[in-house]
Amino acid sequence: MFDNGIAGFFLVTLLFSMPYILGAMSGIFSERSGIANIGVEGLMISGAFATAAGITLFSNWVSPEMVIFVVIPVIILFGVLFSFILSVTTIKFRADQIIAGVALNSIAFALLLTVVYRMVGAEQLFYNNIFSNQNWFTIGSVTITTEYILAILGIIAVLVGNFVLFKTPFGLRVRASGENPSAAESMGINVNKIRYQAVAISGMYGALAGMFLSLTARGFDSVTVAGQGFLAIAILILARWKPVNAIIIGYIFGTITYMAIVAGGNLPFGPSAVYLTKLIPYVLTIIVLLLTVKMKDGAPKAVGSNYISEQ
Amino acid sequence: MNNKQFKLGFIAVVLGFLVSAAVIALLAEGGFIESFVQFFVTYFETIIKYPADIINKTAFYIILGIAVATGFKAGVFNIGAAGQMFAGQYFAVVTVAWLGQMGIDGAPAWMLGLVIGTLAGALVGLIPALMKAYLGLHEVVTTIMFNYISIFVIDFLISNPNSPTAFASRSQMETINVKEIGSSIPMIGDVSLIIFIAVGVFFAFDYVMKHTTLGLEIRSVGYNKEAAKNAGINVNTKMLQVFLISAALAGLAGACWVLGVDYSVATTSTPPADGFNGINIAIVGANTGIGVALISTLFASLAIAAFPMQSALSVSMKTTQLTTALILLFACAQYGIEKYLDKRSANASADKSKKAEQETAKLEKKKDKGGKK
Repeated sequence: MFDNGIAGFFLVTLLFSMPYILGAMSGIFSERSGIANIGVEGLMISGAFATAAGITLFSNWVSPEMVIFVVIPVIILFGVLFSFILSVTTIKFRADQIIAGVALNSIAFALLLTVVYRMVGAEQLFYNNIFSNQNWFTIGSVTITTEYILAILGIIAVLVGNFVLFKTPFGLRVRASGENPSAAESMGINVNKIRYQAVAISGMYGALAGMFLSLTARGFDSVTVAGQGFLAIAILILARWKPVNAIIIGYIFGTITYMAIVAGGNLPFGPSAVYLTKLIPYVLTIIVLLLTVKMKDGAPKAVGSNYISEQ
Repeated sequence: MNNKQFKLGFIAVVLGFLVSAAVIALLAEGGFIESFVQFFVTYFETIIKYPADIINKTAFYIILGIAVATGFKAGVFNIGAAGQMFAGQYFAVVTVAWLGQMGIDGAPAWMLGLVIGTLAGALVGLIPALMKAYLGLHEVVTTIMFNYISIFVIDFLISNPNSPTAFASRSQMETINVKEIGSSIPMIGDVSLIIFIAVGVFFAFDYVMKHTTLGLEIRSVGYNKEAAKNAGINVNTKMLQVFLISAALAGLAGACWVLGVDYSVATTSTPPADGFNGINIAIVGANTGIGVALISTLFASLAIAAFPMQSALSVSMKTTQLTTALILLFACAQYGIEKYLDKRSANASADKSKKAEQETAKLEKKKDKGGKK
């Protein structure tokens, strides 16, 4: 586990944590504006698909070292496009937010697997390790590849999101829309416009979370995301809708998952032990929810209810 | 299901079919028009060719859809139906395998299997139900967590040769086949008798909701918790009850499916997709018995059409899932459809009243003329 020293351990676990951290951030932006987002899973699926499809298509033209940087804008675009399913149905058509999220998840899953099938004639799309020949620099015995740099950039993106949410006028408007939309509107804020923007940002973070899943799986198929979007939502609740907490809790979850996978091989249950290790984050979530039930939950007050402008 | 709900549901279904057929035609290998037409041809051919399969799947969907609808009636969103259903499947097999070892098979075996499967579903729902009723923890997150807890615990029980229920495993991937040990629910032709269980659940749901105190209490908790509390209903206990009924029905659905149609359970890394179909069915069916029954038939035919669709259009097996997902989307965006219909009927009635005015004006003119004469 510590073959590459503390730095190596930290980087590997960070890479494992990124889907949780970015996924939670995706939910935070949407829910802070008042739109409950069960669709993080679907946004992650769109990002994982865009990563796999983008790398496959662009690696003919772009060198493997740089291809991911060309693909990232495509990934973000996919996330934003799929987030419109949630925002348009809930804001314009006043759909129940939870149900719209469920619809987003199933549309992303079915549609993108259909597209993958069309591309390669099977429901899976895998690519070679694009990071194998990279070596930006080394820390001790750890070779720093683009993956790790992306993870660090991801953390920075979450911190920037935190700054936007709590230190800028836009962030104030987002939070006002989620706490008390009618008061926000009386202050001249266009609540529904803010909600569209916040859900689009949620789409961006969600798709980037999916990108990390695809990068560690080196592809996209029906189980690439497999419920991690829901874990991200659980982390957002445990983090009390605060990005910095989400980084810490997401990192703890990622580390536990990683250690469980590594340790799983040594348990006395043989191959079936893998299921016990997969169980850990879900059981942990329930335990933490039970332990923190007395704490103030910090949920945005208007989350889950659609705002109908009185104008 | 009133007239308006039926109309909106119908429009959602039509839109879902048209949009998904268009998307699938774009992705199919043939031309757009041919593929678009082929989608519908294949769908209707499926209905004619595989009626028994569709009835079996419909029976399963009705029980599952009513499980979720029961929860919705009291404002409980049971996303955990998938995990509860899976537990129902597994423990039904374990029960008949255990009875099989003691030389008991046939009707006593599968009946006890159904009971234990139902209880297993309720057990998976128990902790989220308690957390919801007494700690106020929202069920959406807890039931999703329990979906995964349920499938991974069962995967472990199936795959580990030393687990207490290992006698029910055939290999490390799969359980024994209940038909081979003679404990499956009998069939008439190709139609499994589980359809009678589904019909029973359907009538029971309809009767309880419409004609009993329990139904009234459940509905009032769903409409307005505060008002229900003021009316002397113990809201927490009622939600706990509803949650457990919902989970038990999901377990029963799984037990019926495995003992009557599918015959064995395999390990899985995600909650079974069919479990989530229960949610779609309850929502599109407007949480009513008849709505759930109609949508179950529709979704069952779509599920059975997945494979014929793949061979006819060389598209993915997931295409019909896209159709159901889009139907759900259009069903939950009913406000937009409703507004459009209202606008049209407003325009139409405006036209009508204009015409009526013109006609009365004409009549009056005639009268005036008559008067003059």
